[in-house]
Amino acid sequence: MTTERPVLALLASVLASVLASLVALAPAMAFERTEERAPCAEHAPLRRPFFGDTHVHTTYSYDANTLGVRNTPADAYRFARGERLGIQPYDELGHPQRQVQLRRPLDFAAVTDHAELLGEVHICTTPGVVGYDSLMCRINRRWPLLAYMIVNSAMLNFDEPVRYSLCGPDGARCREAARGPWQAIQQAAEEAYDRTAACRFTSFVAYEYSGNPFGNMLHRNVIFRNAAVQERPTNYIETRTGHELWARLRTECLDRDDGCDVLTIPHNSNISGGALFPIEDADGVPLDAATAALSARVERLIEITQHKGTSECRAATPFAEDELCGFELLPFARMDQYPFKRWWTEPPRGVHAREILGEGLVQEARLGVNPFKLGMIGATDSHLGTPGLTDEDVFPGHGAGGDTTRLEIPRVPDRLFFNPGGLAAVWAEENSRDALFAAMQRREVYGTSGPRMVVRFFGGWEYAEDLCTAPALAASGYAGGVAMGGDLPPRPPDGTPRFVVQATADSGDDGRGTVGLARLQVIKVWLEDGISRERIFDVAGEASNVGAGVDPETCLSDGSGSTSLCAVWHDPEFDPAAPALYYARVLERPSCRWSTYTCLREGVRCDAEVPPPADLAYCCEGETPKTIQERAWTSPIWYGPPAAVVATRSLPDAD
Amino acid sequence: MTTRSIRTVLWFALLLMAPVPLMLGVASGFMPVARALMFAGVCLAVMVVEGMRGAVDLLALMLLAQAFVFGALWFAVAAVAARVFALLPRRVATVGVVLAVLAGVIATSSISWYQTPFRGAGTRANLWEIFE
Repeated sequence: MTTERPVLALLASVLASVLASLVALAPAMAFERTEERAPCAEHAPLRRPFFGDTHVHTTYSYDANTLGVRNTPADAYRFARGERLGIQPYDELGHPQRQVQLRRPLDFAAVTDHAELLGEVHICTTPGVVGYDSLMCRINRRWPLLAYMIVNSAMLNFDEPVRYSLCGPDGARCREAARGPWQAIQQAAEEAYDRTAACRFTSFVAYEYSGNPFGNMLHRNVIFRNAAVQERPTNYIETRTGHELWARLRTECLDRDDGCDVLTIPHNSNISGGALFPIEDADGVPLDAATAALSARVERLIEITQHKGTSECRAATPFAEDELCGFELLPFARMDQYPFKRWWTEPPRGVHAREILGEGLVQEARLGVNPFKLGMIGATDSHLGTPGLTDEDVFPGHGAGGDTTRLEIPRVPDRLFFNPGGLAAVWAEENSRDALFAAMQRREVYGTSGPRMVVRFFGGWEYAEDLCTAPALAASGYAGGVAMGGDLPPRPPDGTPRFVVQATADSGDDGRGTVGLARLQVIKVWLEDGISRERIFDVAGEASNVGAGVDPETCLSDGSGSTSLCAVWHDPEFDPAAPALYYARVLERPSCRWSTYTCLREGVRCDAEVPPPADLAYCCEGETPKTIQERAWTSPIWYGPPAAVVATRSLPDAD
Repeated sequence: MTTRSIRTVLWFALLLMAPVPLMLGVASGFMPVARALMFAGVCLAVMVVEGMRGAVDLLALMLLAQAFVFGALWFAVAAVAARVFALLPRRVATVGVVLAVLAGVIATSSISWYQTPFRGAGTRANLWEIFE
């Protein structure tokens, strides 16, 4: 006993000093507490990743409702916390015919029902309410799919939607009716939020602003920091542009003095026709600095992947051949093209995140502020009320877009070009609204296509070459530079930026099994002669592994790949005069796509004498990829040279 | 029954009972022409009450176009069948037509021939369910 105590004391003092030094090295910017709640028992000064879904629809969304979804926001949050949930179709007694459950609960979620038609759904589903017996509501209840086609096309897929007569002559009845579901959304979020010290789950009050003028998707999720929110969600019927949306958010939230704070997350730029990030208004007037600043204040993230495809990059550009851009790309340019293959066209420039980030550099050089300084997250866009249900092997479909499992369970759960969507990973000190929201605001987030790989990405000027083997990578990362989403500190003389990217494979403890990592890449986008350019660098792992790793006949992994990869990389082509940004992409070894699991589940044998039925013919045709490389995308780290250098080197045509 | 009345009866029976493919972009089904006409009527009612917005006019047009094509097809089939019936003695022809229609009613009532994504519940439907 007498000899143990000094040893324990020594150990304790060493531990305390190590912890103290780690805390001292921890990022200086802590989050501000804006709500009353118990402090979290688990607090990580060097931050830890929390996985969640910020894009989920329930029966309050008109499209989900008419396509047979009955789950409410409260149900969605129960599901996110790990409970089983029944989903469509329902039998005559109202019992769901399918049950789903997450293999691992989420840490956070935000239900984002469409702001448009919230009131209409309420009126048409609440007997006794004025408008319940209107023509549109009758069609709604009797032939819901027909109603979906009529109303969705007029209200969500139209440039100038006008409310139906059930809303009264000026639409006030529907605007007023929207208060009910909006209150219910807030209440469900409050009830799901764990305000105890356990901090098991965080919910956000949120909604989706959804306009589709001329078929171009102008959709943004609006996420509130805490319980102080807008009186009513802003919708496309009354507010037609992103700029007007931000202006309303400023006056109805940010300018208040009750702690209301908000950010918007655009999604599906891949099918926006380039209209989601306009650099001029309808009259051709270029974006001004004030609008760009408001955009930069409110819009901090972009949803880079979700059910309706990935928006990172196009398969080939004039400046960079990136063979990995073909991941879950939609084959059409606008959502209104998708019913008929002959309508499909190539998306224009300016719809992919890499192009948008590059345009941000161009605009920053022009305006002095970058309106498109966007971090990256993933989400599902589930319309079944099932946040985080990204597993390829149990994908039940999406529950919207006109395809529905309202009436029966199809063999193939969704259109082949759709996918289960992804997740958001947020580096925060604790699982609370303030901590997560602050992380989203500083863009210390990354998106994944579903798996929960853990990714660190730091940028600085003087990281040691052997940082990957150092015991305190995160502490050194924060101390010597910035994490993903940040701006590189001022460049020292002759400095060359260094980046540390570290990734750990999803542990596979969800029953999916471990799929090892294949490689790490750093993608650089920079401004040269006023044009954004891009280049992809492999920084760790083996590019030659692509194509191996899984047997598509069984979907069994060969167990190859790395459990973790790490690299310290410096930009060999760094031009101190060129504004630039860098983000990391983490690739898993190949694994089976959901459509391949479907073929296996249905027992399709391509060598059988009898060909598979028409809906399963794809299993043997080769057009649909059998395997995919799941991945993660980090938020970028930006480099900005001194303004005078930019003016003389990067914009020769500016004057 | 005259040849013309036989043709009319058979044509109406085919319009009401014979399933035809119906495609509406994201949705498709297998249902009688009368069902397409009914939905076209619903779309026209929406256009009258709410005005032409979104794709309601396109939907109405697609429904009417398909109804016209299959209606014409069934008219031709009914005309040929009526000529065949006309070869029989009138009383026999009348009984034959009535039996044919009755057989159609019984068959479409007892078996869920139709497939429609537009109902409130169940994709499969028989004659009474498809018009409920």
